[in-house]
Amino acid sequence: MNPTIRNGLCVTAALAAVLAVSLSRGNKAPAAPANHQFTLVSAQRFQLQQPYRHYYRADRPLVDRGWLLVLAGDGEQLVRRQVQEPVLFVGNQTAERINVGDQSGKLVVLVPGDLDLATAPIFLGTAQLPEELVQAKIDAELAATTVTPPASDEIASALVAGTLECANDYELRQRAIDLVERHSPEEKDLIRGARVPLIK
Amino acid sequence: MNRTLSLLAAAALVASALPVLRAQTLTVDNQTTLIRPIGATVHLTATGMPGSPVLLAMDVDGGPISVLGLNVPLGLTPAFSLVPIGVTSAAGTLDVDLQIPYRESLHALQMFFATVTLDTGSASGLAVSNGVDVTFVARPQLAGNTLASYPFFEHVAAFNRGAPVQLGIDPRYTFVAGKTADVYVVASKTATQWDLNPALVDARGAAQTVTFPAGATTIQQNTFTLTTGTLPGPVETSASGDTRIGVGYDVVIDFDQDGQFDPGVDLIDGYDEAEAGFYVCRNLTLGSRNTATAQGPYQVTEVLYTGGSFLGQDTYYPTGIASLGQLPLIVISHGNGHNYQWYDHLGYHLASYGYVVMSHENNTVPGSHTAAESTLANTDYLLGHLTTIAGGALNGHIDTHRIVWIGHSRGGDGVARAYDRLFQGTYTVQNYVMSDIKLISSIAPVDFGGWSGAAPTLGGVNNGSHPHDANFHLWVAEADADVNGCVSSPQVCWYGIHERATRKRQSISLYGVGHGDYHDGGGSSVADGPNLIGRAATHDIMRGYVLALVSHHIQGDIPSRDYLWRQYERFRPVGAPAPSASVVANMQFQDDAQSGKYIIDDFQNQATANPQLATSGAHVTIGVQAFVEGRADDFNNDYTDLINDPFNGFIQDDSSTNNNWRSLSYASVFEFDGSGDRSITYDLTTTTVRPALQDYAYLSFRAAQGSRHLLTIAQLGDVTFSVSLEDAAGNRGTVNIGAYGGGIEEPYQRNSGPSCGIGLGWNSEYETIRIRLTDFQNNGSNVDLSNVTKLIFQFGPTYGSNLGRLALDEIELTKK
Repeated sequence: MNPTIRNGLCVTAALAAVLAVSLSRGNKAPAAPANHQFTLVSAQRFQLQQPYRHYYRADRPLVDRGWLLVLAGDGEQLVRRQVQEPVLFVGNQTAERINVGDQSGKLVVLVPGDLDLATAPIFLGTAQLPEELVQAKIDAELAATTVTPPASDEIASALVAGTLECANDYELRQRAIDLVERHSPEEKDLIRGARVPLIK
Repeated sequence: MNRTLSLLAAAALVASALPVLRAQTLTVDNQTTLIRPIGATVHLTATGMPGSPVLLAMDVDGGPISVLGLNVPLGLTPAFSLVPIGVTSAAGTLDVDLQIPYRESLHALQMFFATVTLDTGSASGLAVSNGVDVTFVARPQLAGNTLASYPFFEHVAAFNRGAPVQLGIDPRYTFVAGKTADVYVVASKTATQWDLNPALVDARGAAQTVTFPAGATTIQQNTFTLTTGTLPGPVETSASGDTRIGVGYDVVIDFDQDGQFDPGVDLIDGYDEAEAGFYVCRNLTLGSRNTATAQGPYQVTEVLYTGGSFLGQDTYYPTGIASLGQLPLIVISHGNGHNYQWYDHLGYHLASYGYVVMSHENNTVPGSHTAAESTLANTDYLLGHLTTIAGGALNGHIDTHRIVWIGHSRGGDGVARAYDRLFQGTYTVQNYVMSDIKLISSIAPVDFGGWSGAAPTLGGVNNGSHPHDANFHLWVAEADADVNGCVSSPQVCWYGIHERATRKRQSISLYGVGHGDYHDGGGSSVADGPNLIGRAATHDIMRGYVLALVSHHIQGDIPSRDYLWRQYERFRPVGAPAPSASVVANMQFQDDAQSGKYIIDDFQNQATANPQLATSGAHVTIGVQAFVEGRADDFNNDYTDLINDPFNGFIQDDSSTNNNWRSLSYASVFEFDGSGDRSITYDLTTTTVRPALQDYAYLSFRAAQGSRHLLTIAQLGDVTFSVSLEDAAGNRGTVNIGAYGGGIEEPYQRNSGPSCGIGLGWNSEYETIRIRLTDFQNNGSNVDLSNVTKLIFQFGPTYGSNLGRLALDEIELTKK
């Protein structure tokens, strides 16, 4: 190749690279949708005799009570990826997703603790791994969100009376899968896989 | 033998008459008649008068004759020679190692030896030992395939059923010249079995008489077809119970046509305790389902159960496991948003070949650190509950010391991180230990843990994505639209985990395959790029290779190894789709240090400081253009070709500010622009420890085309080049890597929008090339493998592709 031509092409390529830097970069983690508002479809308190570990934050707290929620949102925002995904928060707590919900737009989640739904915005935060989140980061996410908590009438219509009493999280998850079957029935493999025989 | 015994008796008499003297004796490897291969080292033990010089007498005739009143067990022909080999000790002994020259022309030569020592008690003042005869034999590979260009023949272990098998022997084995012989293809026997039963029974029904031309100068003249593809491989009928990958055969050239294998004269391929001469291999892809047409060797039972939260398991095992002893365990860990029931294509397939396969519910949403604990816990749960799972059918039938972990995407990261937890001692399991994990295979993995899990922005849990000393395998989906390989995000770059692995490591990269093609859960392929092949074709490739992979690592299966490195264009499992513009597979295969390999240059130690100095100490003469040695890292983090980013497209290493985020993987890159021939020459005489190439089987290296480089674009196809070995006498053998099919593949022509740079071409893809060292000797090259002085990589119009931009790395000599 003529050296002059080659050098010219290299310069061209270098300029192109500079231009490319100004464009969006690579397979960045999906950006958190600004102000994505979930609708609270169902909410029931749960109480466990035997606590379980909540893996959705770095300190992995033991949980013996919390909320079993059904949320409605934009399914496009719920597509699962292997890279970092927007973390789902309810107030100052991370939520555990039971199902995917990308087709139905319905998400069944577990939220540890006694939070007040009337003051807890349900929002997708920045894309990261829940297992790495510490409270300070969670608080920062809450402070940054512009999503508002569910309205009182929304909560009232979603609220399921009484507390769901379970022996352990396995039982709780079975009830959660019942909700998946009701609200996101196309997730047949998930439902079937959760209802296989329990070995004692 | 009688003569030898009488000599020993005489020596004993002398010793008894002169008690101050030791008997004059000689043994080789403690024997007096033996057969040894060329190149072997034998041990001579001589006895005689203490402090006496010892001369080794050699001849091609065993005599005996009488000289100076001495009985000499040699013929004293013109070939006779006498060599001082040392002085006997105070105890009257001398031990010496002697290496038989590696000369193929020595085959069937019988040499006679005796020692001469001082003897004050004899009239001549000398004593002569008993005689020892050693027959030198060559053990060449014989079975293989013809090639269209030099070296014109490849000796290989594995043949697909239905494929022809040929015999090829180079004329440097002069013994064959002008001889007529019977060639037998025999059901494989071990060396011990050959020694006990040398009878030749041809598996084809009758031996084949061939005549090797006198004066042949090429291996083509000494090539004969052994079978057109009619030799049986393993039984493939439904539920046959025959799980062998291949059926072994030995090839014998019976020169005296007596129907017996004469180990000192006849040539044999397969005189070994473990390895046959060649193998006829089955359709490795058969066995995906319990149907008459797809059934593998065993009927498979699938059970679904759970032990509680995140302990759901989908387990596959041979229905007749009760009579099959203990079977290896393969654990599959799915990816994020995937489901543990989505791996029937692996579960049914591997179980039908005698493995227990368990795919488990994987807690992936929190991240791969949590997923790793799912892998650890589910493996432990299965092994701890064998009395109850599947009604106890598995109890006592799992070999807990042979476990494979396979993980997909976050699960693929998880299995590496799980091993890291065991390696770091930060996770305790009850029913297995780290050394039980014989292989980790990551399918399109993310890389969240990096080197140590201590990356400043991610990981942070002291849990690296690091397979350490586990054998490691990587599946890459070049069209992956999720874990997409784009260099700007380290956690989606595939090769970091591979580069960290320190044991045997390998990869299979498939163009046109998306992230979702590796499971069978339906839905989208999650693919982006040209020439997509879809899920069914992906699984047809996957099944064959995953079986070869686990058979190689778990069973030590020999023919399986061939599938893991031979060019897909030339050799692939029966049932795998033919190569095309869409179906492209690149493979890497690197032996570990324990294999006894010799590293000529891996570029790891001296970085860019002195590119003229190889890892081995060899002086390197660089005659290519734009040669750079450094970290295999796309420095500016996009795939746009840039003159100051020499390793553009390389994602093996990352030298970004995330220190040790990935691996420290060095290599060389260079180019040749078609204006002339170019070369890189290693002077092996300057190595710290000079390798004797006859002690190795292959020259192995990996090479890649530089993605989006102008010369890569100009070539836009496989790049070929040549490799030469030159000996001290200036003899040179030259092999073009394209002779074995394919070459170095051009990068996948993908551009997922502008997000990963300008231009077409994805990451720079390594392929491993292995050239059998004896191939350099064909057709009168006269290269002396025991005295190779130069290794030369040659590029340009005379030696292959006119032009190209290449990386070269991991230049090694391997034993197998």
